[in-house]
Amino acid sequence: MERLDLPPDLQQMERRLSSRQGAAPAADHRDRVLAAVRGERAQRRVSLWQRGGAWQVAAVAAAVAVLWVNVAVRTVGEGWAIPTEATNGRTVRKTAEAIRSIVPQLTEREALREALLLRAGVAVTAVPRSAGAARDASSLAHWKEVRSWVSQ
Amino acid sequence: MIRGSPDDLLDGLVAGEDRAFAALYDRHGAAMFRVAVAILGSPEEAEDAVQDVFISLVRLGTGLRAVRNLKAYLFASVRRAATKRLPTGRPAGLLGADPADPRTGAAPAESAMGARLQRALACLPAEQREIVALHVDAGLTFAACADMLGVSPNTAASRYRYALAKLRDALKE
Repeated sequence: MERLDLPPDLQQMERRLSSRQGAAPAADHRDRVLAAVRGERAQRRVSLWQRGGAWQVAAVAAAVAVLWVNVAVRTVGEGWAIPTEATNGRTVRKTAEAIRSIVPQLTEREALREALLLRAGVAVTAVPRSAGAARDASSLAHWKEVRSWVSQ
Repeated sequence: MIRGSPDDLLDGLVAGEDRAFAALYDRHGAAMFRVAVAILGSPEEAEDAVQDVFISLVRLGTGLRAVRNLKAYLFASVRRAATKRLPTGRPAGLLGADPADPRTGAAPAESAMGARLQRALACLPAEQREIVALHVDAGLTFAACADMLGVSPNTAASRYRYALAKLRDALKE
């Protein structure tokens, strides 16, 4: 304790104060305080876990949203996935034979090339062009006709 | 048992070690209680104020690292917690104080002079009772007390001197 320049009677008073039996908390106060400290720590741990859990839920929700957007964009961009015939060598050859039966003057190589082009267009959705409605309608009709005999 | 420096104790408190909180209570708990009693007068309220401080230490967590003087911080905290518990308009420590309650320091086995001293302390103005508790019971320097009370060290020392004089006069009567 700092020493003040006190007269003797006040010095004696100070000594009496220092040596007095000071106030003391109840005997179980220490235990109660430490139990409260433990309780508070446990509560904080739970609270932190809950906050972590909330972040996990948020992360899952964000992932689901990203997935949904991704699927939606793919659906809009590519159309529904409709199973189509596989473009293998046998179907291409059959198509080329069909072409040559209609246009016999085509060489075998040219018929195969046309068949490949036609088979490549099987999975393409037929959409009318935005300009020239009459021509588009005829084009569509022509396209449907071609598809019908190519698929035979 | 943590026996190291205040820094070791602080590290333990930040880490949330039970033994650090126990060591802190063993070192300063009784003095914190005495300061709280000096402000509140009620031992029950004083015990709750001390508990509030310990809980606030847990809540502070790593923020405790910013504390430079743990002892001064503790007593500033207990003073704040005790003041918060004072009902509005109530003079600090004058109501609810029972000098006969052993928890206020006047044990039945203590001398009649001790009981008179305790009563005289309870009758001091709040600011003088507070400086006695902070300087004598908590062992804080006048500079630390002044910092806590928002006054100059000279004012803190003067309050203490006046308190001693009043106690002396009360015991002469």
